[in-house]
Amino acid sequence: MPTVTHLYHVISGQRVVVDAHIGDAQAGGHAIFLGTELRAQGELSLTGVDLGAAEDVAGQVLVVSSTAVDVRPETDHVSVEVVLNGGVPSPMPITQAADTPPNGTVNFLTVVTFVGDAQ
Amino acid sequence: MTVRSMTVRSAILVLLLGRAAAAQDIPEFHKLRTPVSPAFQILGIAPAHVERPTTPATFAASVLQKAQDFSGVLPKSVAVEVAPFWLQPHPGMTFTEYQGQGWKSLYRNFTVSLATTDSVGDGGAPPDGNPDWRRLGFGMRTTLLPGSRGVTPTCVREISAAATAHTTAIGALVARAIAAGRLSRSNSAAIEAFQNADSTRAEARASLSRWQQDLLSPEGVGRCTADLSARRGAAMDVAVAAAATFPEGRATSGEISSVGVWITPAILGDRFSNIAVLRLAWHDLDSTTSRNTFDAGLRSVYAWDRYATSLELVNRLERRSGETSDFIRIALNFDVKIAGDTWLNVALGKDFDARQPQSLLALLGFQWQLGDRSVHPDK
Repeated sequence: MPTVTHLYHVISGQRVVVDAHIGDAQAGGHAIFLGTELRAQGELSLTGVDLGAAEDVAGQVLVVSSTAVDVRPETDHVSVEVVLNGGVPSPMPITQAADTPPNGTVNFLTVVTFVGDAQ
Repeated sequence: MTVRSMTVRSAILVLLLGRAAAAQDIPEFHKLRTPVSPAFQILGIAPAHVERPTTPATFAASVLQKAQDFSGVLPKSVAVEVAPFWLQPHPGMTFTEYQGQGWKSLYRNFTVSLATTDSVGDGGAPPDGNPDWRRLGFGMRTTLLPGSRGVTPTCVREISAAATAHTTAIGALVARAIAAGRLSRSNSAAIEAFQNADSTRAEARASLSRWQQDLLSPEGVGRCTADLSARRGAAMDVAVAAAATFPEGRATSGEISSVGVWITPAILGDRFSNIAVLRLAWHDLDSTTSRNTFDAGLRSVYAWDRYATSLELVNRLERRSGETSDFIRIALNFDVKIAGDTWLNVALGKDFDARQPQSLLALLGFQWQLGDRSVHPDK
């Protein structure tokens, strides 16, 4: 159950947008929280989830929880890619990968603290 | 694979025909397809343990181990299969993108197999009992046409929906713990420990219905994996393999003994499938009695509910010592599901036989096998 934490500098006037993908052609799903508010959830790939203006999200915590499921007969690799937009750099991909026993599940957490211009 | 098998050969037909049927096996029907591991096929072996490294580290460790074991004589029981593309993770490759892979299946499904043995095949002892006598097989396989697997099969959607519910529960717990100050937003080790805690796992699991819990269990996911293995539409695999004999077991003293090429174009449907095979093989190249064969065949499969049946017809041209012979193999296979994963398999047919070509009755056989279903549209 891997976890990564990041700081992400957002740029005033920009919209902060996040994508999340289950990698390695596996199955799975995501839930995206800003603070404690569930902003989006969905299967396999979530794209273009608008978190709001940079000024509004600065100082808040983004939690992207993703569960990848090893359905592929070809491999036991599972991975997740979270892509942040609206800050520096943009896009900023954050990837995590793991190996699981055949037909196992792995939960990945990506925790991002947004930092504004003035912070 | 057959889990439990019980074979009664010839007995019933011996009684029915009132004559001594030839005591020989009807060849395995699965051979009318591109072998999964061509190196094993060309050697005629079925290794009990096959190493399948999935990361560069495990691959390197496997190679180093073999190098350490090498003491001038080739090891006698190596069996390795590697899919180079899958040695590395591919976090940017989504399920949907992979399903519609098209020509990319050429390198994504490429596998290499390598094996050694000290037997002549099918467990036979080496010539003259020479303990250093070895054979080495090397093979490659790939997919020319991947067939259609559907954009997102139902089981994948269902499993992904269950995974979404599961991960939403975990994410909510973590988000609340961070907001409440019980977890530091920058302490990944603490967050990881929190998500791995039994209480978190139990709470996340409790958010799922019993059906969703079953979907995410290894057995539930395994059923979906089996579904994903099944291809539909136009598909074609190709494999090549070569075997070399090392009379003294030394790597420098080998001679190529066999070469094989398999091509299997197929039209695969949910119920009705047609699979063709083109198979070229050169045998005993290291002797004065070398021969080569060219097989062209077709297998039609119809599967429904608890039943499946297939008809297989293969024409073989064999060239030996300047003479060409022509043989036919025909086989009918019928499967009935008895219970669970247990199937009753009945096979009736005539094998290739150089001595008695086109002699159907003399080579009739009957095979009764309890085990896994033997008739698969795409196998």
